[in-house]
Amino acid sequence: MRPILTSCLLLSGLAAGAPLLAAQAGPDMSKPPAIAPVKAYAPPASQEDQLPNGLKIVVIEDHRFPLITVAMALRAGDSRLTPAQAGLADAEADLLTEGTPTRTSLQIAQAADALGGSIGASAGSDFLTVSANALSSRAPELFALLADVVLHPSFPEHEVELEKSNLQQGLIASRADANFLASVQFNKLLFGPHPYAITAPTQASIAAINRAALQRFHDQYFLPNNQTEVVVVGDVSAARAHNLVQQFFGDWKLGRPTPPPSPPVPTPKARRIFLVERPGSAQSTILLGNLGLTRDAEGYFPFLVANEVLGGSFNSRLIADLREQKGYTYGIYSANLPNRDLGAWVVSTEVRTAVTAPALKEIFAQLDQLLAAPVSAQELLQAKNYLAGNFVLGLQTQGEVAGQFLTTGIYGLPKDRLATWVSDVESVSRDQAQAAAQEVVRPTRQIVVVVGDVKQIESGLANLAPGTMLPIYNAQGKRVGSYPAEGPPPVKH
Amino acid sequence: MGKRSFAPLLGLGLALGSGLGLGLSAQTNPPSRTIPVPQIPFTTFTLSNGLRVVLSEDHSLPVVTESMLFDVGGRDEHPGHSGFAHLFEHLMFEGSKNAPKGVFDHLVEGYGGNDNAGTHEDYTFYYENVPSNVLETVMWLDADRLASLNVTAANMKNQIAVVEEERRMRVDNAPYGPLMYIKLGQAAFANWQNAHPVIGSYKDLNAATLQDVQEFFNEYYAPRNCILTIVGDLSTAKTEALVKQYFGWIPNRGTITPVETAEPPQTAEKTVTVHDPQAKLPAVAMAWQGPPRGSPDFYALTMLGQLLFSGESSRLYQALVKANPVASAVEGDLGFPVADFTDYRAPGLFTGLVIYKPTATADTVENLVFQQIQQVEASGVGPRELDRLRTKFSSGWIQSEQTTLDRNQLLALATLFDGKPDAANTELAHFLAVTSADMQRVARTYLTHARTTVVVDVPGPAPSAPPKPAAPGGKR
Repeated sequence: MRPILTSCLLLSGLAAGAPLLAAQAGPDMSKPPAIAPVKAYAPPASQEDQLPNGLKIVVIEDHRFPLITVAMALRAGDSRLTPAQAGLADAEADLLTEGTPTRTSLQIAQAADALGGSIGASAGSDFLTVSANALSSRAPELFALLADVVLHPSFPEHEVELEKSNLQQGLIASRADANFLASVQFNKLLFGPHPYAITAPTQASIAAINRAALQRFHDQYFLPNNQTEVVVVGDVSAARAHNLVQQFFGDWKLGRPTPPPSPPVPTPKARRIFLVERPGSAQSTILLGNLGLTRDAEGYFPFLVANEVLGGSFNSRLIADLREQKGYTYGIYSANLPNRDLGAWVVSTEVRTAVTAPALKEIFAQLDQLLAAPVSAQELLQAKNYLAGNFVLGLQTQGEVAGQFLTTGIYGLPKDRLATWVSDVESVSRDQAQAAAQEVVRPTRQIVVVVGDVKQIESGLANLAPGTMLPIYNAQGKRVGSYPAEGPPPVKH
Repeated sequence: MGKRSFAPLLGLGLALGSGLGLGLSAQTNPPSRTIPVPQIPFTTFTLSNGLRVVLSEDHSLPVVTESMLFDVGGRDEHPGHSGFAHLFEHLMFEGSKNAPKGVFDHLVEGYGGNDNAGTHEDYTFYYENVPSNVLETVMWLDADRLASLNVTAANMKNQIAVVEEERRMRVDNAPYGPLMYIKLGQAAFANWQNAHPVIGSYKDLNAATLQDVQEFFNEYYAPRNCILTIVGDLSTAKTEALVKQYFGWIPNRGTITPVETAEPPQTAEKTVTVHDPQAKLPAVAMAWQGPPRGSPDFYALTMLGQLLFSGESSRLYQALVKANPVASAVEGDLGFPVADFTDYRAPGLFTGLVIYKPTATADTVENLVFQQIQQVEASGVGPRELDRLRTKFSSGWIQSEQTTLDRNQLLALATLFDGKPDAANTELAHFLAVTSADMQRVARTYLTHARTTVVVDVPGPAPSAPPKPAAPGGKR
């Protein structure tokens, strides 16, 4: 049979100066072609306005496809809730499309179908977002449907009960997911007293949801002046889009919203490892990190670049080391996750159980290396190119365009944020990137959560945190022990 | 972020209404309202080495997507080599003669792009999305790996480990992963070519050799077995010249020995139970073998799939989640779960997956599903529902043409499956022409009890031994 690929093709290629079996003279393949300068990119033009009731409007005309996309956000996310209310914003979002005085749940779904579109809502940490799309020829009907579900949800009793049942089943299903377990525990430990700490409901908090609570949430937060913004992208004129917003949301009564509380988050004194039980797990899921940056932080772009080098893409140090060199994992990424008031910076991966401790040790070493020396000039250039290029690549669909403009508005970013985004990235220097990494990545303050088969990984992980105890939690988030096991409680006299 | 995946990610309970979803329609015939579906412009030609090329020019953004689609997938593997097509896909990123390991991502991502690949039952798709000034660089990279892939033993060992972690993550460690990606195909098909999982077994992956790589490369990764598609901010004339320059000289290698994929007809319902240590809620999958792609039944069964499964207005969502709330999630399609109707090819499955509440039973769910199928058989689909179905399907079709990658995939798959890129523009009409009677016919023909394969997913680990009668005297 044929010799193995390496020796065959490499040697023959070198010897002949041309590939084996070439049927005709090929081009000079010995080095990549020179590239032309990158073309300038300008985001699509937008028209901004505000209704007298406070509702902010952004319209972007996009005539490439006969579609329209509308995205609306209100400051009605999970951070509005107490721990005992967890899940209420999700239920609110789900139930918007489950009934109004004039439409049943099924009629809402069928109405969206008939417009060639869809409508749905979801609650994030800070904002509740309602998104809808349709064929642009049906724009007026889409706005009528959107206004009906945003302004007049009726929360029918039977739909509320079904939603609660589905949330309860969903919670059970989610607790089978290692990433869910990791992120819920991580956020709880990282954000402590801040509302961002609660990212999942409990069976008790779901049980407490009722029609009155949903209606109260709507009364309090579904206001045109609750940092509320609507973005319209589509094959319509800006004037027509503006008129539709005015027609369907002009009578919306303003109220007196307050910002949610944002208590200070205590700084951990040392890096700590926490375990979550998932018996029989085929892998360990590792999620570690510390507080990160908000989108308006001074170091935001320098840190984007530094993080890119570390673990932001496939061409990163973490992938090169833990996947391509060591084969510990299928993927490993790091990211700054910015909420409105606080950010989280995280590294996440799944590794096979047997290499859990070596993988974590390697991650720690990569963090130390990032802090010890500036990234190389080549790494800096590639990271900046990646961020700039993928920013443009990520603005192709109407939904993507709407999302970027909405983010700019609701997070209070400069109006020209999208126009300057590429140059903001390109102006970052090596020193700025390193300074930002040192500001954000804090080995001595990190929360490390490992979800897996605890019995198999606890002793190895304990060696990475000498002298400390590793708390152990179950899938419900309850502390069930530690490694090493705590001694008997002190005898009280 | 699925880098280099073997199949689309499952989005249980979340995927409703995404992608090319739903449809509706109105009368028995064409939609009552004409929907302007944009046509994708293209130029196509074939090089002397057999490489098929499709170019589509669009200057709305300074970006471009290049792809190579190879007519090989998991179905072409041989016993003892399960998972090899996917492993090979990983190796295509591990270095070529002039671009050693690491260079591919350094250049593609380092110049502002991204790349990935996916291995399916019937094809393997590689793509790069890049700023348009980088197009020639990705042509050089793709040409170099098509001409002279260069895999070392160390890199191969590394990627076997990576693929095994991918299997653990997506299959072994994921609720319903073994059901969807391993057991369902094994239960529904008799022919190993169709039945074995694309992700492969650990044993077969560990047994792969560099000689296997060389043979696979020669057989399947030659220009005659590849479709090169480039979509976006390009000059057609200039790009055609560059394609000829970078790809025209690459010689063909080897020949393909087709595998036998014929599947014996199923004549009796089959039921299989899977113990799922990762799942917390029970699930049941019901699957039926489907018709050949491009046949009238293919279009009709696809539309029936939209009627039954797509979105909150769908028949099964309404029946199982709303009216008689036994389920928390319902999902299905022609091609699901390893594909969807866009990349379905026979022998393949029409599958529904229902995650149900512990208060229900698999039998209850199965009966409710059959009730809905029989409802279609008996009464068909009314004009208003059909109109909605068609409208939504058309709109979904347009939604799925928005990015350069979307259009690239549509053109490449049309070329592979239908022999001509223009099918990306003309196929929609076939789906919209499906009538109520067509859906009734395929429901009666395909979705019968005797043709059903049922896989029941039972949460919890498998019992370690057959249950024994309790010994008198009680426990240990």
